[in-house]
Amino acid sequence: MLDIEGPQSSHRLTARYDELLAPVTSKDNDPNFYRASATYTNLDERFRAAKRTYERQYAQLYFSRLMLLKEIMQGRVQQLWPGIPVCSILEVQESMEVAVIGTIYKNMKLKPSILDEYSKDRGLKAALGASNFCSDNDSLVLEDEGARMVLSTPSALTAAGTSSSAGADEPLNVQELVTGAVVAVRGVHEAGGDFMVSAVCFPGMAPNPHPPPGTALVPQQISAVAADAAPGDKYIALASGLCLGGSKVDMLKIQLAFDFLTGNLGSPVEQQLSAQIVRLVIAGGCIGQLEALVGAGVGGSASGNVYNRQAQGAALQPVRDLDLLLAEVSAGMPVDLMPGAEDPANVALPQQPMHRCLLPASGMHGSFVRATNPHEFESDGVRFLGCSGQNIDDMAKYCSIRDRLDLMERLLTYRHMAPTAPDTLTCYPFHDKDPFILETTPHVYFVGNQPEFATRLVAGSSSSSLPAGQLVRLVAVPSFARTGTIVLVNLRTLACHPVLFDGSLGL
Amino acid sequence: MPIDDSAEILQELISLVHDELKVLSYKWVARHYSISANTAKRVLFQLAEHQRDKVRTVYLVSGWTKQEPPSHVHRLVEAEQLQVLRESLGDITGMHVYSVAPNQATNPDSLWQVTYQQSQQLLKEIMSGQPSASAEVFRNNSCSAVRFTAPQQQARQPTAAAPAPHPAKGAGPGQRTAQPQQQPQQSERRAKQAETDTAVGNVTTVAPTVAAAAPASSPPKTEEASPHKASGPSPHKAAVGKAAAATLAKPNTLANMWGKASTKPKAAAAAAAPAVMAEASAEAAPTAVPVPAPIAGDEDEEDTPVHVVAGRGRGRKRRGAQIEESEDEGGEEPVVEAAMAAAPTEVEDLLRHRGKGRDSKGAKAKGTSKGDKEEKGKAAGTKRSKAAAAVPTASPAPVLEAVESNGGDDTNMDEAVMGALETAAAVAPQQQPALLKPAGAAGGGARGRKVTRTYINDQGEEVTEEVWEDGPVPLQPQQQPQQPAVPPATAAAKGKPAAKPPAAGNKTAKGKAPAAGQKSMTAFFNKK
Repeated sequence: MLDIEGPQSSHRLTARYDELLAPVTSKDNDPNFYRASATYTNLDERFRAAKRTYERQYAQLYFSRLMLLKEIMQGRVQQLWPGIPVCSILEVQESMEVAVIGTIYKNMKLKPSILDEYSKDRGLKAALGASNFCSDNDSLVLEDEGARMVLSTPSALTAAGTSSSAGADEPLNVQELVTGAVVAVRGVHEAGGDFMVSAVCFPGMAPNPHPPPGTALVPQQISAVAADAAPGDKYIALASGLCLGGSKVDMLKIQLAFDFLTGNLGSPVEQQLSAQIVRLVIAGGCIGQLEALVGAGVGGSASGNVYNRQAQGAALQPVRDLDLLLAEVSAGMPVDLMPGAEDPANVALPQQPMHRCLLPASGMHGSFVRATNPHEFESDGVRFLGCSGQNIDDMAKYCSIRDRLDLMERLLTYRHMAPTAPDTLTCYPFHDKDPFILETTPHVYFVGNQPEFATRLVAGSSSSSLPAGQLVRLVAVPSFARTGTIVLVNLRTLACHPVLFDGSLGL
Repeated sequence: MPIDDSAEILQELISLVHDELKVLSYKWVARHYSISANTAKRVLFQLAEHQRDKVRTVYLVSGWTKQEPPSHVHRLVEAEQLQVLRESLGDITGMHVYSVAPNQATNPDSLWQVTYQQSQQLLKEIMSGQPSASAEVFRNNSCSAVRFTAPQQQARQPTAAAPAPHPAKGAGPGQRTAQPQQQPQQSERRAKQAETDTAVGNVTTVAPTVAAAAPASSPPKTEEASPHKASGPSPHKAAVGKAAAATLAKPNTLANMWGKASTKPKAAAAAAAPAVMAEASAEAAPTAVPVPAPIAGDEDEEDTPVHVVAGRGRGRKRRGAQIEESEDEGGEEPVVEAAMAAAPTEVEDLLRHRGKGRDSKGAKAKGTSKGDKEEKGKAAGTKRSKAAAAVPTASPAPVLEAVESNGGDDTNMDEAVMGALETAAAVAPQQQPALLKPAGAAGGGARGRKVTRTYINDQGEEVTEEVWEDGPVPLQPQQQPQQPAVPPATAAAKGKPAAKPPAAGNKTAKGKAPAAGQKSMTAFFNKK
C-alpha cells in the first residue's frame, strides 16, 4: 500500500518488545525521548468572525461566491472549450452553442422542507429515513446574477454518465451535483426553454503555490518512498469523535490513545513513535451529543428545578472530562481543538473556537490551541486544511456519491469546502467574501467524524489546474468512539499511519 | 529511582491491592509515586510475578496485525489471553503490564476509573493552586518517556489578564499574584468606564486611566514577585499624586472649616463645595495632564494652598457642619447643596486614595499631619476671614456651571459668590472638564455593586464577567447631555449611600465621610 505505513523493520535493532517485562534493575535504564518539534502557523484568520450580524440575506453569499469564482471559470472554459463563447443566462440565444457560468440549484422532491411539516402528510418521508434525499426525478437549475434556467440532458448522455476524472469536462450528471456548486455548462438553448447540456466543467483544484518541502513527491517515487517511514520523520496526529457525551463512552480506549500520544503507553518502540508526533489535531466531535448536555438539565426538571447546581454539574460532566483529557494531553504535546457538529460552539459554519471557559485546565497550557472549525494550518511547510465533517456529511445526503473520499475530491474540484451551505448546511451570512472558497489546495485535506478511516493521494493532472506532480492527501478521519482509530500523517511523505486502540479485553 | 525504593513501593502496592482491593494501573502508580511510567510498568510486573496467582494482570500488547494491510494496534488483554493475542499479531512491538487488580470480580470500568479519579483529583489540586508532587507530574507529564517543553505562553498572557485569572496559571507564585493582579484590572476597567461615561473623558479621566494603566501594566512584570510588590504599585501610583496634593493642602483645613462653619456657614458652604472642585481640578492637573495644570495654576496659584486646603477641610467639616447648613438654610440653595454633595464624596474619594497610598507607604505622614493640622487650624483661626474671602475666588467656576446647568434660576446665589464668579469666570472652562473628574474618580474609588456584563471581545468570543461597578455610573449617561457640571456631582452623591464603604483602610475618614454624604443627599432630595 502506498498510502499506509507498514511496520518498520528497523526497530528490532533498537529495542526489544518485552523490555518492560522485567524487574526494576538500575535507576536510569529508561530511554528518554524528546518530542520532535515542527514549525506551526495557524491560518484560521479567515474563518474567525469578530463581529457577527445575522441581519443579511444569504443571497449575497451566493452572489459573492459566483463573482469570486467566475474569473476562474472563464479561464477554465477557454482552456477546455476553445472557441465557445461565454455568456450570461439572459444573453443566451436559441440554437447556438454557448457556455454559461452559474450556480447549481438542485430541485429535490425529497428534500426536507419546514413547510412540508404543515402542508403535507409526513408518513412517506419518515419511512424513508434521513440518510439520503436523492430521487430519480431531481432536476437542475442554473442561476447566475441575472436569471435562472432549467438544465436538461440529452437522454443518451445521461445513460452514459460515467464519472470520469473529476475536474475535466464531463456530461451532466444530475445525481452527483449538489446545490451551490459553481459550474460552467456548455450546450444549446432549446425552443422549449430548457438548456440542453452537452458538457459540464468545474473550477478544478486550485494550484498550490507552496510545494511541500523535503523530497519532491513525484508519483513514480511514491511507491518507493511513502511506504517506508524513516527514523527522523515527523507526524501530525488526527483524531475526531471522542464522543464523551455519548451514552456508552469508552473511557479506557480514550485513555489508551491519549497515553500513547503523551508517550506513556507501550514500550520504547511506541514511545519513539509518539515522540515523533509533533501535534494532535482533534477534528470535532469531542462531546458528540449535545443532547447529553441538555438531557441532564431536562432530567432535572422532572425533579423540580432545572437550574439547580447538581443537575448542571451532571450535565457538564462530559465537558469536564474533555477538559481533563485535554489538560493531560496538552501537557505532553501541542494540541489543536476544533469544534464539531454537536460540540458546545456555534452551529453555523465557520464554527468559532470553543470558549475558553469550557476548558479552564487545558487552557493553562501554552501548547493548547482552540481552533475554528474549518481549520487551516501549516506545519513544517505542509499545509493542512480540515473540517469536522459537517460539509461531507451534508453533501452525502444530497447527492448519489457514497464514498467519502470521492466527496472530498469533489469538494476540491468545486474549489469550495461547503457548497451546500447555506442551502442545507447552516453558515454565517457572509456578504462580501466566501471563506470556504479554496484559493489554494492544501497538501493534506482531512475531514473528521467519518464512519471509517480512508485515505487517498490525489495527484494533479493536466485536466485540473493543480499542476502535474502536485499531490493532495485526502484523509477521512474516523470517529474515535466508533473505530478507536487515530491517524498519523507523515509530514515528509504524507503517508498515513492509522493507530488502533482496543480496550475491550476481548469482551 | 533506587531499587530499595522500588521494593518499598512494591510492598505498599501489595497491600493496596489486597487490602483496599484497588485496581492499579501503571499510570496510577507512576503518578502516585512520581516515578516514570516505564519504571511503574516494571514495578507492576514485579508485583504480578510476585503475587502470580493472587492477582489479575492486564497486559498491553502493541503490534501489527497479520492481515493485509497490517494495521498498528494497541490492545489490552488479560494474562490468560496473552498467548492467544501474541499469536494473532504478526509483529509485536511492545508489551507491558497495564494494570494489576485483586483476584476477584471487579467492575470492568474500574480498569480506567481509578486512574480517571486520580486525574480528576490531581486536576483539582492544580486548579486550587496547591499542587502536590503527583499533581506536578500530571501537569508536566513528567512520568512520560517523551520529554516535551511547552512553548512559551506569551500569546496567552494578554487574554489571561482580561478575565478572572486562572488560579493555577503560571508557576507557583503566579497563583497568589493573581489576586492583586485583579485590583489594577478593576481600576483600569473602572477608569475606562469613567472615560466612556463621562463623555468629556479625554482630559479629566486621563488621570485615573494613566494611574490605573501603569499599575495594570506592571503586574506581568512583577508576576514572579511577591504579592506585596504586585499590589504595592497599584494603589500607590494612583494615590501618590493625590496624596501629594493633599498633604500640601491639609495643614489649614480644619481650621478654615471650623472657622467658616461658625462665622459664615452659608457662604462657607457655598464656597466650600466649589473650592473642593477647584482643588480637584488643581489636583487633577498634576496627576493627569499638563494642560489644565498651568491654567488652573494661574488662577489658583496663591489660592491653592489655602483654598484647596479650605475646600478639603471643609469637605470634612461639612460632615458635621452640613447638617446645620442643610437644615438651617433649608431649600435655599440647591446648587450649593448639590455642589456640597459633590464635595464630600470627592473628599472621601481623595481620602480613600490617600488612605490607599498610606497603606503602601505614607501612613505616618498622614497620621502626623492630621494632628498638626488641627493645631495649625486653630492657629489659623485668624485666617478665617481671609480664607472665607479667598474661597469664593476659587469657587466660582463650579458654581457657575451649577447655575448654568440649572437654567440660571437660582436667585439665592451669594453676591460674594456672584462677584467672584466674574472674576474667576476665566477659570471655568478649565475647571469644567476637571469638574467631572470627581464623579469619575469617586466612582472609581467607590466599590459599587457587582454587575455581570457581557461583551464580544476581539476574538469574537462572548465574554461574561462580573465587574465591580461604581454606583453612579448608570445615572450619568442620561443626565450628562443637559447638565454637564452638576450630574456627576449629584450622581456621585446619589450613588454614595448605595455604595458600600470603601475597602481601603482609612478608618477615620470612612467614619465621617458617609455620614456627610448621606446628609447632603437627603437634603438634596428634600429641596428638589
